Amino acid sequence: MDLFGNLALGFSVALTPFNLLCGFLGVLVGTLVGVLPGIGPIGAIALLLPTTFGLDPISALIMLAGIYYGSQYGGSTTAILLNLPGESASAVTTIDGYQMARRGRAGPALFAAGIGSFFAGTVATLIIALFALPLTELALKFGPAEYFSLMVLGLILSVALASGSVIKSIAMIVVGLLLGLVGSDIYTGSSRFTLGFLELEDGLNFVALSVGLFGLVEIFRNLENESAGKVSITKINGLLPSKEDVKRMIAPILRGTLIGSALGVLPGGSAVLSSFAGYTIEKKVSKNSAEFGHGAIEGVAAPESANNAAAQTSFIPMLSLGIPGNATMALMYGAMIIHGITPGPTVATSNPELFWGLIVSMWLGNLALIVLNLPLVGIWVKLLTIPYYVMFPAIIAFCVIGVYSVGYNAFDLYQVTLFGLAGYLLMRLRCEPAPLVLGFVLGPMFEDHLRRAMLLSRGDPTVFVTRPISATILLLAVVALVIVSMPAAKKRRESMFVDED
Amino acid sequence: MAHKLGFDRTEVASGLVFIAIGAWFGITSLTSLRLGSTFQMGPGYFPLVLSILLITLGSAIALKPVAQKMKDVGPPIPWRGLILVGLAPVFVALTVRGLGLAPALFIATAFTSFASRRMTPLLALGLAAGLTVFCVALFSYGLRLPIQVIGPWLQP
Repeated sequence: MDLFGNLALGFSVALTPFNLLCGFLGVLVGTLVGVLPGIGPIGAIALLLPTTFGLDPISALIMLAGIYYGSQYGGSTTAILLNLPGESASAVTTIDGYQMARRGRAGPALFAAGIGSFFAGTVATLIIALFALPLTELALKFGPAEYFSLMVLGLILSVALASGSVIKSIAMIVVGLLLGLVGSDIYTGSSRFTLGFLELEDGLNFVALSVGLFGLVEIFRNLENESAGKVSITKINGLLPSKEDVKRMIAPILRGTLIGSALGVLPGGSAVLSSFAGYTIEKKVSKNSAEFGHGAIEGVAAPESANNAAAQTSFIPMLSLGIPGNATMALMYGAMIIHGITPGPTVATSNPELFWGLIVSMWLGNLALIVLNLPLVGIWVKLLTIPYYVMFPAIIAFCVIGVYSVGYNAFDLYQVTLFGLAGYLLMRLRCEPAPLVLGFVLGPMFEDHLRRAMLLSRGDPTVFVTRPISATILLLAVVALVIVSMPAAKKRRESMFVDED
Repeated sequence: MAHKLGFDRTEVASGLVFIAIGAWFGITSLTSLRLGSTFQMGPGYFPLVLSILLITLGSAIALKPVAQKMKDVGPPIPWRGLILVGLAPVFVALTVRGLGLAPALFIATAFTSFASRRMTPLLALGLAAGLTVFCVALFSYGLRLPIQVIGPWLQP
């Protein structure tokens, strides 16, 4: 009864005309932004976050969630049609998707991606509905020591499971943690690292930081090479797949959904990782593995299902434990805070209509995605003919107004420029900004739990290893760290993200 | 083929950046914040621990010898883009209260367009005008953000 009662509550919230509209708009705008190369889900959420400020928290979150999976999905459309992944999670879709399109089978490829995403989204939504609540109850038993260890594990896993240098990613997390501490100390009220700026007493502006690091840096990166390359667009004749196609796509969709759902729940698991894992595993188990790389429909169905499933289940750690597992969730976390909700185990009990409304709206959003995308694919493709030099001033205008509207504070805009330039410098030094944002969001929580744990243990630092749950979590973190540092694993990890061409 | 071991300049530079950030946070924590004890941590305790960690990581990154490979130069730095795009938020910050949203946004988008070498003056003006109209319609009239469209500097 409980689950159905809760889902019914969710439907009653998500089905109000206004919330439906918000979800629909979110998906629409998300797809639009996702189709444009250069702005991924993180950039899309950062850019559009301020447009939700006027809404009530539920509608705003429904819209942001829509933007998130809309942009995720939009990326796969361009991956298939143009060999251009709109965002990194769909990079692997280009391998077989584009080959299919070149053989005149763009329609079935898009269909496989769409139906796979929808199925995966439905299953993942159910998983959230089933598991978020029990996890919440578990989380309520956690003390500060467990929380601290859990965050360590989450941060380590987010590094271990992502691409790029492990040690640099950890360093970026630490920078993020430090930046998160700027402002007045909650225990003593003394101002820290503010350089005397009163505006910094409340900390650095989260929206300005993410817009600078993801919006401006992306523009700078695109301005590095202004090639005159014209996009040639594949024609789509007929969306419907043949019977043979349908048969071949069922198992990959199921496997992809499974892999994605599992990887999404892990702290640090991301849509990017799941689509790569989905593709690699499918290639190993498929009967048609020889066809992979030459337009195998399995190579589209599996990663697309996996990344959509992971995009959804990655909400679980945030909704139940209050710990964002990856940078995108860190942004959603920030968004919830801005709307006056502290994500964590108490949300499900104190705000059930928000909790369940959001979950149900995810499923509705997936439905909207498929209804919207398959028929409208022609329009999305037209968008790609807009040259970049026309687009980036629009992105800047949105960044500027968006950040300014957070607090009507000129100081926030200076932060955008500062973080944009600093982020570009770091990017040139081959340091990715995503771990920094994750650290930034976790910084204050991290310190708070550490201090509380130490107070409770009367200053005994062994508390983290003498409490069994905490010790187990820390042990897992150490194991993860050891595994990624081993030379063999290192090689496999690199090859997994580069993968075949 | 034997590779000569040496240092990668990019890695050394990034290591130094991390060391510098760590040093600043560490020194500030030591000099101006109370550290406290492990029992009752002061505001400086956790940042100091983090900055020591960051300096250690930075040193490890900078000092890690790598096999000398071909010089990886990377694409040219888009100076023009860095300056013009970076100036746009600053310009709006300085003028949005005085000039109002519409003129501030128009001027900012007009000059920031030239961050691209392919921009022409006519296109920039058209683009800025279109964007300004769109943003004012969306944000001021649609979402009702309390920002003046035309500010006091331009009002008689």
